[in-house]
Amino acid sequence: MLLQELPADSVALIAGLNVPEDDAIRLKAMGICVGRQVQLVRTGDPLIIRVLGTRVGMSARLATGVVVELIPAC
Amino acid sequence: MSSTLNQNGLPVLPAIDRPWTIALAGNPNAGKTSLFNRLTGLRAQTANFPGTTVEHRRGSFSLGGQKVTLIDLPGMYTLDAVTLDEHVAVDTLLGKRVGTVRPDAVLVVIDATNLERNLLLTSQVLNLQMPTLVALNMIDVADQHGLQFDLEELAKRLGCPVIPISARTGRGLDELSTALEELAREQTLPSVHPSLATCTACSGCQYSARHDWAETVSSATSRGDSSAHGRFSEALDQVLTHKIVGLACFATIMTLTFLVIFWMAQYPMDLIDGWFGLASYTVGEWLPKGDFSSLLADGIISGVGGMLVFLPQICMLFFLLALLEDSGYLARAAFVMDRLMYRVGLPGKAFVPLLSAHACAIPAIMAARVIDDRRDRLVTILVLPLMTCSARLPVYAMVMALLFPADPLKASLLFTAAYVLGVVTALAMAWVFKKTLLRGETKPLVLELPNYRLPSLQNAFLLMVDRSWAFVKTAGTTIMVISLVIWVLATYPKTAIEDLPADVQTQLAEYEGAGNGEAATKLLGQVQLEHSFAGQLGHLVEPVFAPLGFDWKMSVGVLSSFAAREVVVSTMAVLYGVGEETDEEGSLLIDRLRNSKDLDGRPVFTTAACLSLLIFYVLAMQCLPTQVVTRRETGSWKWPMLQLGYMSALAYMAALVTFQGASMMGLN
Repeated sequence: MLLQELPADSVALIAGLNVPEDDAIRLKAMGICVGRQVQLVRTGDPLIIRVLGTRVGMSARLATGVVVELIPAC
Repeated sequence: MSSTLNQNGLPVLPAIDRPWTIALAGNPNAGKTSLFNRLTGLRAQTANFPGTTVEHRRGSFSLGGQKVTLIDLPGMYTLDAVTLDEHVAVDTLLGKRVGTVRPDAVLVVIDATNLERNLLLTSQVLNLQMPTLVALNMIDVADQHGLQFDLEELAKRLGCPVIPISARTGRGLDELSTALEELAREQTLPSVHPSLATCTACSGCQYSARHDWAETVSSATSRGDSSAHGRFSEALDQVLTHKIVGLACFATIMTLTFLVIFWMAQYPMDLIDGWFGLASYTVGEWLPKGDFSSLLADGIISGVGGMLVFLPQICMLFFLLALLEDSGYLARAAFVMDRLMYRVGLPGKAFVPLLSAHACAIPAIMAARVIDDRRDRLVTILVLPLMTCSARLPVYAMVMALLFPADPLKASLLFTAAYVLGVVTALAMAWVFKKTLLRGETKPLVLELPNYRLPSLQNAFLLMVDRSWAFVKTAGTTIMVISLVIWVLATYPKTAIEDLPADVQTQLAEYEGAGNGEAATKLLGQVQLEHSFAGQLGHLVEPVFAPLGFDWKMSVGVLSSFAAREVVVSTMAVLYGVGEETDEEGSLLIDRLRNSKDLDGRPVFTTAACLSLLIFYVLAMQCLPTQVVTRRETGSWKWPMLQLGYMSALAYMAALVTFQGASMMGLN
């Protein structure tokens, strides 16, 4: 599924990035990189995720290029 | 490169004895600026990187008697440069820029409360194989939240010395200096861990590998829950980043900011205005009357004063914006505005500059540096001067007084309409530029929302001094030159009294006879101005401005206020002045304007003409300092020329439509 589609407060692993090269570098450098874990803090546009202990704001249109795997809550 | 080994088995390069250059690198929000200010204090200056418009601060300090130049690189998350600022930063670090040397050492500042994230950039710097020292900043905050570090293990894993510090409190700075001196003297290179050394080999997956490494190092060397630190910020963000409440908070915070700016700036502004008025008067009194005294008093002192009077506002704006940025709030402002700004093709980060331009376009243009994408930034800079800055207020006030002398409600409605016209035109033009000249997708927002913190007054003050001084230096010289040119145009050629029209001569003689020397001087000044180059130019361009309802005097006003829009009021005061008593300058000017008639005896300032004049000044560029700063920030005269061109065309056409339309509706 896409980062954009995650329900609030869910945790997911980044599985792939389908965004232009420049944006990909920006995302990866901030930790939105294949294999990293992110948590959706606020839905909407822009949305907020928590990654590497920091909250990062991101436009929804960029989040539609981020493929994630939902980690089911235990 | 041949090198020997030191007692730790690390390679040692030959010692150096010229002044050292040390580069300061780190993530945004890691406390780089605080550390820079701690180390260099007031001995810092802002400079451009050679051949670019990218600014940085550099300062000098002494390490054990050795002179050191510290270069503050722009904050970055990675060495894979995307933006221009990042490219310049990386090139400087590598010594690749013409006119820079490769730094003798790199000081990497990392945020102790967020070790893992900060280790990514650190890992890339370590791979550069330059003498490197890591400053583990905000160690006091980490302590408060019970975070513990195994510093020995961390230094071992990084392969370079690690010094815990707090740039805020000054803790650990002595140790930092000692370690830095030793590092630069001995040129000790980091011994990079094998798992990290391979990261450079594969370009595709380097981020994954580096993040894995950072995670391993972080979990092996630190203990405790760093998320506790962010709880307060998170709670605050529930409100401040909310879709609706967040916007309301943003509006409130910004309104308060501007109230403070306008309220606090008025006192120094009155003082400066008074000083320059006094200086101008004194020079006029003490120097023998003549061209030289007029040049000093009317040309240079008035010209420079006209610029400096806005300096308090500019300083206040820089100061408060720096505080807001340091507190972490500006990131939230960009966040809540992003979706709305996207509709006109601008990023959320463009909003605060657009808002700041309501005080003055100059600090706003400088504040547009936060916009990463070059095209987005250029569009923002191009439309910024359309916002109603404080220099427009005297002009607006004059027109309102002419139109609605006894109707404050109508006057304030028209005032508001003028503001709205500026904003709407700016947004519309931004949209047009994004669709045509500077076409391109608006960069989507990716923005760290740092934890809120108490902003540092010292940092904000230093930034304000730096930026204001940069403005005075760049704009000051140009304004001086333009003031001189305008003075020459308005002063020469001189008309001898014998060559004046007979009725003027008679009038002059009457005034003199009645002992009214002041009235005579004023009348003479007015006639002289009419016959000067500026006056001739006014007559020459009158046909151009006639369709807008401007007579030749207003045309001179428009021309003379080319460099500074507010000048139009004083030019009109001189041109329409007819040697009456001048105790109440303001009201008299308005009366004089209202009563002025053209050659056929019809009033000049009809409703249509007033509206046309207002619209013209809402939209016209008419500010040379802004243009100079645009040139400085964009690195080319092309952009200020475009600004001037499109805004003048827009102002002319809008005023034309207004005058003709209003005349047709019978608003005479």
